[in-house]
Amino acid sequence: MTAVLTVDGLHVDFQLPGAVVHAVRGVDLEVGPGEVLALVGESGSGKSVTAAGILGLLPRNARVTAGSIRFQGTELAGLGERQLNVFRGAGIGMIFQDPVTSLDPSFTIGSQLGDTARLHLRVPRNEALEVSRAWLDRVGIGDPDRVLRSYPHELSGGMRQRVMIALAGLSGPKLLIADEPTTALDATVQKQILDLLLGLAGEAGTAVLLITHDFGVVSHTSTRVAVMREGTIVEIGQTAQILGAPSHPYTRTLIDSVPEIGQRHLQDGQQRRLLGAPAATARVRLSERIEAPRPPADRPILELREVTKEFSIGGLGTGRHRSTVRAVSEVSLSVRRGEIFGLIGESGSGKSTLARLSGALLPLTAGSVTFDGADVGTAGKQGLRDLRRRFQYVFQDAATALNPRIRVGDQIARPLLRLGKATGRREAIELTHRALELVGLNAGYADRYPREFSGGQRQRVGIARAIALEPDLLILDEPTSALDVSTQAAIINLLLDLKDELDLTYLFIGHNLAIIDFVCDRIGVMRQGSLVETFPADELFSTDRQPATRALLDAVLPVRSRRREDLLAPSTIKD
Amino acid sequence: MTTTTAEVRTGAPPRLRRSAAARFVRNREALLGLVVLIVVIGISVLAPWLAPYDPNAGDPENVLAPVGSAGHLLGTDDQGRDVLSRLLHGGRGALVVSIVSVAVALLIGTVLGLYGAFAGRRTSGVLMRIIDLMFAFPVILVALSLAAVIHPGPWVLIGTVVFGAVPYVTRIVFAEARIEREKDYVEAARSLGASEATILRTEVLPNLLSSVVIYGTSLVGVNIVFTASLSALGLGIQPPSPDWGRMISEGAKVLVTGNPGVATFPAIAILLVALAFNWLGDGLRDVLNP
Amino acid sequence: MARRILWRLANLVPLLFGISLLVFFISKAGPADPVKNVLSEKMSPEQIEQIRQAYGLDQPAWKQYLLWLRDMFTNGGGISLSVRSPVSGIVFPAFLNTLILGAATTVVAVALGVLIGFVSGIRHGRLIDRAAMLLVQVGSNLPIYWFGLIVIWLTAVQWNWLPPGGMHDLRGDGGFGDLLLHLIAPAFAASLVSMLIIARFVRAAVIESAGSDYIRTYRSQGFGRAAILGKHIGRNILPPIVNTTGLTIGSVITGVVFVETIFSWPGLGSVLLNAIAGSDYPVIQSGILLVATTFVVVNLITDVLLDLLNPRLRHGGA
Repeated sequence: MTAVLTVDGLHVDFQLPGAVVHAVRGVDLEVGPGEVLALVGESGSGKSVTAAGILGLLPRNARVTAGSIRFQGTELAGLGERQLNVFRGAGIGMIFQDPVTSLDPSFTIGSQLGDTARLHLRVPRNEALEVSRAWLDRVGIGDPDRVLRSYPHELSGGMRQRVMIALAGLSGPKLLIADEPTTALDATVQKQILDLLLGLAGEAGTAVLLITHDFGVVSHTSTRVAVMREGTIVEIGQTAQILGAPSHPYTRTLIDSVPEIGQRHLQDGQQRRLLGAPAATARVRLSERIEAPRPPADRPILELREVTKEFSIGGLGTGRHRSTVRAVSEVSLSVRRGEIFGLIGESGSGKSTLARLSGALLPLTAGSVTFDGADVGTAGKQGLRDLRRRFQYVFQDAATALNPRIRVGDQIARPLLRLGKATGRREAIELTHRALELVGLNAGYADRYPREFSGGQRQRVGIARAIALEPDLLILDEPTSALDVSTQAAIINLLLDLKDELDLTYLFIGHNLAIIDFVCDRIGVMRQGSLVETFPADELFSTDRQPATRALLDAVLPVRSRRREDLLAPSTIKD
Repeated sequence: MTTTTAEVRTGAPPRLRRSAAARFVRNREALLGLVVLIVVIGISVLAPWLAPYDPNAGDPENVLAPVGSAGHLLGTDDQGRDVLSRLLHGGRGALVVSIVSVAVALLIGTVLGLYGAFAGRRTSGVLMRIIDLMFAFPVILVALSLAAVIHPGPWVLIGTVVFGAVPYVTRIVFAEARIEREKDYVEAARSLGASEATILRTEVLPNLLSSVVIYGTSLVGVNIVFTASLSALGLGIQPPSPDWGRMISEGAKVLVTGNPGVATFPAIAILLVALAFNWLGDGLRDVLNP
Repeated sequence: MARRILWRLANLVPLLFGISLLVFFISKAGPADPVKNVLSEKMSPEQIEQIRQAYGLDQPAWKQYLLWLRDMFTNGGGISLSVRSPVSGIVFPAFLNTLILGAATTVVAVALGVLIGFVSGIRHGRLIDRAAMLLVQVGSNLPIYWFGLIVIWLTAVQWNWLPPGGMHDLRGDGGFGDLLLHLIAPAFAASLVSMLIIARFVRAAVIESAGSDYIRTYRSQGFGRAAILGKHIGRNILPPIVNTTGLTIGSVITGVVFVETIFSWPGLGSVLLNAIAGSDYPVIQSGILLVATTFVVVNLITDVLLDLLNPRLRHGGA
């Protein structure tokens, strides 16, 4: 059978001021008819550039320098825009990552779908509208007539991605390139969109090239997988085989870095760490710890009672009616000393707002927060200072959580002086250096600016800044969701190490159930501002979980579900 | 230096970044702009010693001497005054007025912009609405009103430039401060015990200063051109003081029939100084915002 | 939507009040008693007092403001101090002339600015873009007064294409074609600053739109360059064009005032400059109030246009 798409020795260079970056260096790919090939890799591996290169959609400063791209026997490399337009849409359709920006904000959905239908199907305007309506129906949109009249901003992210699928599918392409189609979406929507995409492709016999960073997506969707790293493909083969027994060490590291739902039980009895990253961190004490008699473990260190937060929007001058939005609604929960409490929810569920309310970074609308027995809301100046020292945050995106204009050493040292942790400049510097070493960074990095660090290193600095104060409670607000999987594994292991080392309590906020399940002792599920339920992590699979929790659990795309089955016949994998 | 020894001791990898000064020197436009400005400011300061004649001393015998005539390199104007001497003196008022008033505008604009970005929704809305109106307001009306209230002169120029530049600076500071305000480092600083005043002063302001400096530099250039036109119109620096703008309107009468240099040389000087400020601003952008 | 427009209209009231108050205080804050200018040494104190009363200058400030406001509406600004004729007769014809030149300037600025910005935006980084940007940089640093002189010199003296100034040909029929001919050069000179601002903004908007995800979507669907440029980029740069045009109204008015004296255009700018020289406050006040009100109205129109162009407000919102 002849391949729909054959990529041979593809090279793509980026021309940057003063440098040439070889983003793709010699990629070979083949996608057969009706096949789903996943192209997986970390950020910067060149996977999206490869996809864009196939359709000639590279940014202005990039170009294909060598290699061939054959689509159904026609060479696409080197074709001009006009010639490529013959194949775009009609032959090869493309779906992009961000459905929010990928539709023109100034035209209705009906106009955008209709234009595409008229271009590719050569039908008159009213017929194009019929085709658009039919396609909206096919992609599972319940009220196509309303959506046809809507502008993109009036639809949810999931709806917009359905529209994108309709837009790409409408012209009946032989090959569909989907570039991280579900990365910007919530987990529960992700599975629906992927199943929709695969279903439509299956019906029409369309081949799919799926670009992703998520091995769960790879496992769920693809028949074959290619693993990309630094512009080259390190391994390509049947998905089951590669996920079950990766032959390349890089692939193995990537797969081992992904926490698997239920994996915490497999490691019972030993320290819980992810295999993909080295666990060893420098064992340095920040300061001599007086082994004070620890308070009873069941006494909550943080207790929220009926916490509510409302934001007001609109009002005079905005042209909108004034209204209030309830971001957090009557949440009560307690975090015990020494545990890792996980808070999970989809975007907009109020989990980050709750985190900010707990540490008095936002004023409460109603309810109360107690930290170690003291009411946070009524704390005086000294009380608040004490709270700030003992109650610390690590934020999601260290790129913005660190001040770009201040040396990281100063960013760690200043709060030490401000909050009385260090009595003098010298002591503050000393503590800063130790904190940096504790998170696995060189103390010499103290005089550098945040932009001189990689993403993972920056998150380490963020953690160092928090732990240098030797807090009791650390709120980790999606501390790894901006990171690649291998970096994420290293940070998770570091956090687990530090917790043991420094006797910390964590409130870990996330949207990835597998990570929350792996890291946390107890889990709370948030949905639309309310806390649905809390339960010990071990009881995640219990039958009396709430529907919201079950929905999250069902949305998880396990990596190794196939792997375990395959492991039953190990002899077939060895080569 | 202690930092270098610490790096050697702990074996930190070498830093790859070039220093700001090195990047500035590599930027040819910025360097050119800086050199031009140093020369122009030097000439303006030293004009009394450099100029061959008294800029206001007319020579009735030698009216409208052409460019290159003996003793008058750039010729003379319709009153027989030496164009070169007037040119050397003519930048003083414009430079001082522009730099001083832009500095004042930067100060006011930064305070207003920061206040707008961190104040409550209502206050900020009203403030920025006013600023938007000021932004689009015809500054010439301000100049005319000021000239009506106080007599035409440098104070009219200063008032007009401040009025015109404040909304620019405020909008820029406001827009950038709004972006910075949403960044997690502000929240982080709050969680690390910093007061709101400390956050503004030590966390947010350092992130805005480079933009303020860059826009300030370009604004000086823009306003040198603008004040020259106001002076040409008779609202600014008054005769007989030598001034580039004034020279253009005086030279207008003799542009075609007499010495075209009277109006053209000051125009070129204004263009050059304004471009130099622009180049410097662009260069600073590359250096300060890597 | 309607609510928003009403809100914008309601905003006008305090704004116009503020402007009128400021304009009123121009005469109050002045260095000298405005009446002094029309007095002569020979007048007796009684005569002076009579004149002061006639102009209402013996009343408290707030009363003077109300009287002045009434004057503005009923008497068309009162009597000029220097010419001794009704202000409206001096100011209105000049204002109409300025309005004509201002409208022409706006048309030129938008047409040329959008053209320059669009062309260099779609040829971003190419030779024509770099040449255009150099032109913009040099142009926006030219003293407009000198630029006007050069335009006259080139169009009227060197090439002899256009009249050197004025509004009508004294020997001609004074028809519309004649007016247009006289408009070209001053409108072009006055538009310089606003034209280049518009060019810069449009270029940035085109570059941003061309690099956006939705344009990539349409390219991936095989839409031709013309369709993408005309429909999607064209539509998405409309709001910035309107917005920038609104923002440059101030520059247009400033440019017109500068240019009027150079081109001997019988407009409000020259009238105001003369009035300032003669401390003729009624004329200054009426003139400034007229221009400021025009500005406020134009500003309102651009705001409403922008609202209409924004699908978020037009559809569903509010």
